[in-house]
Amino acid sequence: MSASLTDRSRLTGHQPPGAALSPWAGPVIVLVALGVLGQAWLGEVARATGSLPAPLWYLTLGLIYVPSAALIMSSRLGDRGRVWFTLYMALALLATRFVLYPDQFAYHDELINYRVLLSILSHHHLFTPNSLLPDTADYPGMQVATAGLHQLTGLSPHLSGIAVLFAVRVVMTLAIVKIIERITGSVPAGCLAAAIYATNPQYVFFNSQFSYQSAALPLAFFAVYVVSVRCEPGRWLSIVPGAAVVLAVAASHHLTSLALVIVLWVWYLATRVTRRPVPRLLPLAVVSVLIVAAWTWMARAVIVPYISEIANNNLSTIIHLATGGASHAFFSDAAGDKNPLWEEAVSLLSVLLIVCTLVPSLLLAVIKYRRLSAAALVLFAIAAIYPAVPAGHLASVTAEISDRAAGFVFVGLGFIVAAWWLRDAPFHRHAPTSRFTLGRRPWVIVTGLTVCFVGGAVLSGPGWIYGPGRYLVSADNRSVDQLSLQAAYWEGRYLTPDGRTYSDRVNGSLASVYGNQDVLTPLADHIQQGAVSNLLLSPDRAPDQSLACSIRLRYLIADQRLSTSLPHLGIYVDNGEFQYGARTSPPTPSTLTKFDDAPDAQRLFDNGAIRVYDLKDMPCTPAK
Amino acid sequence: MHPGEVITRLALTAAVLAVIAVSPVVWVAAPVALVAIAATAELAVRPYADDPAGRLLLACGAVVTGLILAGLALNLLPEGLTRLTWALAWLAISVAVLIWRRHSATDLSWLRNLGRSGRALALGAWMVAAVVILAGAVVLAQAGVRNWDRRPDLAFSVVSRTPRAVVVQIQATSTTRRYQIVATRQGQAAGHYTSPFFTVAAGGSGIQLDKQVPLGASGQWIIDLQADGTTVRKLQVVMGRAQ
Repeated sequence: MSASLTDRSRLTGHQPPGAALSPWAGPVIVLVALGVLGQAWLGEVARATGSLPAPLWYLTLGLIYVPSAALIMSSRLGDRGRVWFTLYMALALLATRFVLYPDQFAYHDELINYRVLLSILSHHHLFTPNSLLPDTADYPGMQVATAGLHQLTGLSPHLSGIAVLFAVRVVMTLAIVKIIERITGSVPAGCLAAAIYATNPQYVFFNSQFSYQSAALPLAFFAVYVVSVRCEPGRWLSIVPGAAVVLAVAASHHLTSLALVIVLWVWYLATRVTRRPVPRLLPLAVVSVLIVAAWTWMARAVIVPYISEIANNNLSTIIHLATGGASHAFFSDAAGDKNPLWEEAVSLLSVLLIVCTLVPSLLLAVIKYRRLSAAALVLFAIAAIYPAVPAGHLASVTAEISDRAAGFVFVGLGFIVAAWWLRDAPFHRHAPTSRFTLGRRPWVIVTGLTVCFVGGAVLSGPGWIYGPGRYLVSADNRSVDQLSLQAAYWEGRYLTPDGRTYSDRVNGSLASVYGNQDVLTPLADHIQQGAVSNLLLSPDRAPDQSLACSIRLRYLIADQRLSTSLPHLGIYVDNGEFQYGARTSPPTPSTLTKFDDAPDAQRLFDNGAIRVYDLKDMPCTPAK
Repeated sequence: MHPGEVITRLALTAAVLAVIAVSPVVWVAAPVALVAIAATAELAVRPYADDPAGRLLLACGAVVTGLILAGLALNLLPEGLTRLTWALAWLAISVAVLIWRRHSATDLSWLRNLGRSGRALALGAWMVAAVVILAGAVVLAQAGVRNWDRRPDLAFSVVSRTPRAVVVQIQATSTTRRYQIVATRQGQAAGHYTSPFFTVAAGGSGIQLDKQVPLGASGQWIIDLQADGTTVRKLQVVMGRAQ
């Protein structure tokens, strides 16, 4: 084993490797499977009744997590079994996503990334523009792997995507276990860290989606692990595997590749502080900078505007917040749907628990930093970012980016909590063990993990986002229903491909993915969202014709159901749309159907909810 | 490496090429290809892993990384990422790994110990139960989606046109009703078309009916799908311009 990640002080292992097989192992295997079955049943119930019963959703999810966590922490299970159970739990949690949506990708980010995959399969080349989110076309790593699996195995693109997600979940889980094991010398610590990682708000939901970050994050962990794999010393070729993984990360996701470079350099600087060099780390860090810089340069046309927009939005929100201007309703979506009180309580308790663990652990790290390896110092530094995750929720714009950071932060958090829980020495050197540490009984940690797991799931988004149910307005997965899919498939079959199309957020995504239309977006087409969204959302008909002409619009897709409620995600189309941030009521039905009266506009499709207009014959008259 | 193992591995490599060439049903093609990919990845990373979990980690990471890098390389070819180029990439990688690891024999002695321990057998029984439950979960999930797709719906659309007529399509699911198509020309001199009544009897799997609607005169036409004298769906088309 390489010493690159190894700490001087080893933690206590519960059992020698491969020793025991707990009598509870069999029942837990079945309980976890029952949890997945329960989720499948809930999916059916939600489709039949219109909503996913939240308590049962958490209960069945808990049926997977809680027995697994208890078994992982059990002293009656051998180390090898512990690792396999950690992996089994992680895969079962991922499987819950696919039993809820077994036949298609339904989330907005999934549709965006699926568009890239379909472009690769139809054009046979990478980097075909994707108007839904232009940067995804330049970071096609996950879709390339999916396309390869599809071509080699004959599995459908959707099933190939699921297979890749399972593969990267294996990579993510085992990489965390192995990295922490190598730092601490303890397999239980590695498994506990992976179980703690599963409590992060992105784990069950966002990082299980067919989205470019879902592959990049595990590959970034894998790159760190690869550095620690033993190989013949002194050969420059030994950095090739690490560099190959960094290239795969660079080709998959911009911010993850940037974070990986930062981690490698911070790690290298930490080795300078600890004076314990890690073989191949500096060359790999240098090569990583070159790879990521080169890829970013190639993608600069799309990535610079995209990152700039995110940075600007976040910065202005923070300034607004600092000056007392920002407001954000906690535990409530933009349409007013609120989480139940018990969910709020559990999520707040989970944040409190994590902070209570984090603060003394960081103090310990500061006091004992000379005993820590460079890798341990890096993980402590990463864990220290944690307060930014709940703090980001003070405003809706910053919530998204702070939640994404949780994918990195919880690796550090997993490490420090595992190190704290399994360390034999007193937690604080100036204090007696009994006063500053909890009794290390498994039920204590399992209870804490359960609270953090449920709290993390609550924090990851509004309740409707977890699964199917009745149609909701502008609510990603809950807006993708039979009617919107029917319209999208029809567009793909009967409309001229790549027609310039405008629609709301969900029907626009579906028109692009299944309808093969060129959907207009501000990022890809530099249109002014505020003006163009008038076509759908403003009752004023006067500028419509000239506006449609000015952007050479061919098809307009209007979903009358938008008039039934405010948008659950806060927007019908995109940021900056008509009445953005000031809307108090939905658009009227007549606003959405106003093109029925436009001269020479053709209504080619009507399924009761969605109407597709062809505007090519509409005369271009200047606005008055 | 034992000659028998070399032959087996070459056969697996060839099997992937065969399934790509023949394209059998997915439940034959996918297992063959997945086993071949797993076997090649395991052989490639074997010397670097400390234990089975480490081997699985390295193999999965190598497969995903390898697919991404292979795809980036294939993109440089004029043909790009086609089934043929993926097959050639697979052939090159699998043979290269076989040559690279020619001295690394596979040890399958652990297979002989399987099932000898009573506790392992008991665990095996639990695992079989879990697999059955997981399979049930997949079946249940798919059944839920099928039921969801059987909800009533009715779509009315224009699917093609000639200078003097359009073809409209009625897509229906779980709906049984008598309908009539009525087309009316807007403005100027009126035009009119009324179709005979027809019955749409759509089950859970849905049906699709195409009807030709003659629209002799140019101008804007409204096409109503009516049931019991009430318009349930409406289209509007412009005739007499180049399409």
